[in-house]
Amino acid sequence: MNTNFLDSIKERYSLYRQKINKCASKTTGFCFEIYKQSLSYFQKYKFVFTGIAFIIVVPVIVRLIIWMALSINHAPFQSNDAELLKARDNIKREIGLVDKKLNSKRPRSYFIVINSASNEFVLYKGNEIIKKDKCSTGSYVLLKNGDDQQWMFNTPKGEFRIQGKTTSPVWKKPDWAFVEEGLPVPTANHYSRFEYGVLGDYALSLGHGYLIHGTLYQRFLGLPVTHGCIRLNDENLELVYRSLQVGSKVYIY
Amino acid sequence: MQQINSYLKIFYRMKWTGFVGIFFGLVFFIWLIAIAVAPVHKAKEIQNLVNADSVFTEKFDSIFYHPDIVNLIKGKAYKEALLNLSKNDSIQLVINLSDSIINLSIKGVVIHQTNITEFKKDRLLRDLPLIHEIKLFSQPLPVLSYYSTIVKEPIVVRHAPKNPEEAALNAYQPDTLIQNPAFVACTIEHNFNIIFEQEENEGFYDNWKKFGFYLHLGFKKTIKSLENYFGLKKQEYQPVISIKIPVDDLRAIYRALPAKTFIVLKL
Repeated sequence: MNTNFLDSIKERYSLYRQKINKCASKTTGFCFEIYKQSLSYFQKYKFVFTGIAFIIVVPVIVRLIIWMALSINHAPFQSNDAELLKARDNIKREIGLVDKKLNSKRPRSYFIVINSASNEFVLYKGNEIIKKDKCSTGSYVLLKNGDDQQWMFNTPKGEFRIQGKTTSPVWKKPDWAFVEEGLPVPTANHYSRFEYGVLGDYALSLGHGYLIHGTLYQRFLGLPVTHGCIRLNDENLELVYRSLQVGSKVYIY
Repeated sequence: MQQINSYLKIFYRMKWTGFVGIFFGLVFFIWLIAIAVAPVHKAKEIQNLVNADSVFTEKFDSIFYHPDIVNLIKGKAYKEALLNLSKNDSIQLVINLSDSIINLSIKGVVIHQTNITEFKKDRLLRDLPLIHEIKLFSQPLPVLSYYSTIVKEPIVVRHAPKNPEEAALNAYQPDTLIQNPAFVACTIEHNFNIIFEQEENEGFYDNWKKFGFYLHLGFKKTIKSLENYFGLKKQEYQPVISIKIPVDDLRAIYRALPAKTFIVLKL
């Protein structure tokens, strides 16, 4: 029984081996044929191939030589230790002066930085981060009302200052707020223009109608959904209101 | 001698297609050689720029080449460039390759900072002599042009509804900004090219966009090179710095930078 089993395995093994040999010889033959063909092809067009190789290889060699030549660093320096120390001290002193000037550019009191791409704000006091959280900025919607009127709802970028602070602000709806809702635009001081409570408890003005204020739509914080103002949640708005004073800097990017 | 004769025979027997092939081969060869030697022109251009400023070259002491001083003098040039940059009103970019940091700043105040994941400097910039480096990078360099796969301002045009019913139908859906893969090429003064790549390219779409971005740059470069070649002008060499940063930072930086701005670069 066992010998039969072993014989059958041997038989199968030799069969597979034959098949593999056959296949290998076929593959080798095919590869050899390709090699022979390409060799004869190369023999026939050896000038063309040599020419192409020359055209490509020579510029590469030229470039390599140029890199080698350019990398030779001529660094002539002659000095004694005293001169070296003096030069080092001078440069360090100059760097210190420039550093002082650069450091004086950064506000020492509270300021806020708003990232309109990720809809985040960071409140700083000097170099210290006081709060970092989500906010909402301009939606980049261009609202067109026929050919005559259009409004761009983006948050301006750059350096601003707090122009004014108010508590319980009232929103005087501009024309676009009515156009956006498909309503007729009322007169300048019509009662329908005044909305109470929609801007939160506080508002900080950046000028040109742009405000930092609160929102009823807290679920949209972190998304670009505003008409250009900066919206914060109630807690952050209070912190920002208490921290920033009139004249404090606001950086928007 | 026999070898030469056999070559001549081949030459005599050659058909007109062979001559055309040789002609185009020669034209192509000269073009490649012109491209190969282009870094020499660039190095010479920088050298001329340095030589033209005699006050600078006279002030540049040979002691600055001392290994103990080199980093200090580079640091000083960088700080001076930052100080000059702070005199500007707009948002500007600061690239510090030696510390692998990128900053956005307004009037000297850093408003955004990100770490560079990976960067590659052009060989010409890597081997730049110290005096050239100080001369080039001790002042802010203006940005000449951008090319990118993302828009600077993702504007969505909406038309005013005719009545409240239509407005309710078009109820406002927040637009979470178009999240295309971000690749930005920025050409600055002296024809240096800074390429910003997003840190991760995981999906097929990301890699496809990257391929398209580099194909466009390569195509533009080739066209410019051919124009110069056939216009019998010098080939331009554009040193490239490739920088990889996280995609959100790249979007924020690109969208924050105005069209005309300045960059401070520390190699």
